[in-house]
Amino acid sequence: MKRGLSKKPGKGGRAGFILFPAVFFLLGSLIVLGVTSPFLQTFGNVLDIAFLQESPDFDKEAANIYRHDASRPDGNEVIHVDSADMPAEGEQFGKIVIGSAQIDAPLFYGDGAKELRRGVGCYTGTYLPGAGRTVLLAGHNHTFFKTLGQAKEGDQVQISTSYGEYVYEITGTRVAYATDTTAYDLTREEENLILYTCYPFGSVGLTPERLFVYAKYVSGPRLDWDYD
Amino acid sequence: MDQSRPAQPETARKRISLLLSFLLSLFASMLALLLVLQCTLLNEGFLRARMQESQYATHLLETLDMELASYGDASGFDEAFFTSVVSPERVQNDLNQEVARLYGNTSAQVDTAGFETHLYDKLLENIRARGLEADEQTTSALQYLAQSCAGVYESTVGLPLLSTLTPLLHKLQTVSLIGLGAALLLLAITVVLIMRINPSRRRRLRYLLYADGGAMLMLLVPALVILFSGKIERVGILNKALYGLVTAYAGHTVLYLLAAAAAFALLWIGLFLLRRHYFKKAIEAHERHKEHKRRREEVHRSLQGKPF
Repeated sequence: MKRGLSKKPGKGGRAGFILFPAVFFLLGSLIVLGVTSPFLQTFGNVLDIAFLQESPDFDKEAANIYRHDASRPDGNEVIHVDSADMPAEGEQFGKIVIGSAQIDAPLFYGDGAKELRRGVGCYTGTYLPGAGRTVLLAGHNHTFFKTLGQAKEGDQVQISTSYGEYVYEITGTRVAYATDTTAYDLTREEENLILYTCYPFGSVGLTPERLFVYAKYVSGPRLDWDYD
Repeated sequence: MDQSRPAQPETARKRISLLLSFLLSLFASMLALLLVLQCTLLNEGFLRARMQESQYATHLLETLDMELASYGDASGFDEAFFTSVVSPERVQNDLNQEVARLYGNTSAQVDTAGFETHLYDKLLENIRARGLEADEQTTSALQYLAQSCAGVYESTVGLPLLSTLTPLLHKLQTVSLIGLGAALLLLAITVVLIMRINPSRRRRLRYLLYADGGAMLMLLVPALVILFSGKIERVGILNKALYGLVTAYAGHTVLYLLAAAAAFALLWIGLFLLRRHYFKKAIEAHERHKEHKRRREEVHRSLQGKPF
């Protein structure tokens, strides 16, 4: 006689088919989380930075936050950055005019290939106009800065931005190698402007030399970054 | 029944079986994850297919065209010139080389020198066609331009972090194969133990079903969470080509996890139907036993009190 035949087989514990797998899943997840928690704690903050608020739109053109007709402060007043229309990288935020060199070009925040194809780029490793430090602007010598060589000492450089109007006066020019770090001082603690482009003009190919044009601050609102 | 095995209290047997079932679910999900790893991250064909699907080469070419056109703006060459110099075939060939190098199937790198020479020749050809003089200063400037553009080409077409990833992938392959072997062995041992502890076929299948269900959930739930969280689409990669590749790669990896969960689901259905089959057979056997017992009692009653 086979064991168990005297007793009717029960269907027994149908809920177990749902309950136990769920419990196994929870226990397994706890074990995995427990083992990986040191790594998660270390990289958790990095993971937050690794994701955006929404998926990127690569076909969208970078914003232009500069409006030609808007009125902006142009004196020596102080404006807080929170009330100023500050640019994000890649955005057009102004324009640069050097009348004596027939330069009138859009101004972008960033000096990558995209920005320099469309105008003059502000190096993001330095400061924006009004920050009281060095502003470094670049342009291609075959496009927007092809006449920069005509700018001379005493000429004015007008930079119109989304948050203020600035005027600088050219104090000198210099031709130097791109690797010559004495050609520019990015640590100066007073507002100053440096424009640069490849040199000589009209050459084909890339040359190691650059034309640097230096200018001092004349007028324009100061940016306040303090949060007291 | 095995008379040599000491009798175990039913509760203890159930607890041990549940523990073994839990371990089995862990080993099964580990095995499935390692198999998914073999089919995705450790599979060269998977990366190639994702590159094809995300049009990686096409987007790279767009980036290259823009970067080189910017060099053109700085050096007196127009955009059309650089667009004609960089061919889709060259980019695709170099990409194929990079993928093969990533998986250790070649040591050849992106042909930067070939690109530089090709570009320099084209630059010279262009300035001569424009009637410009190719003096020493100009040829030097052109060489510098070709060298700089070749650097851009290499950094654009070359796979990021390749020299770091290649040895890591090799180590991962070794670890994965060892892990697969270990998971299979542990899985087999656990199954055998469940069979040994539970003489009843239905009981054995019950614990196998628990394990299978647990393994299925361990794959299904994280895959669904990743899929519906939208994290993949929001990954912070601002390079169009790389973004497309990474999102396609991650998306398909999640699909492989879901396929593994589906395989466990099918197995669950099979085991469940088998258990139900055994249950029906047990019911039939019980009914036959009851009938047999009833007939014996009838015969016994009819024989009682009859004189010989």
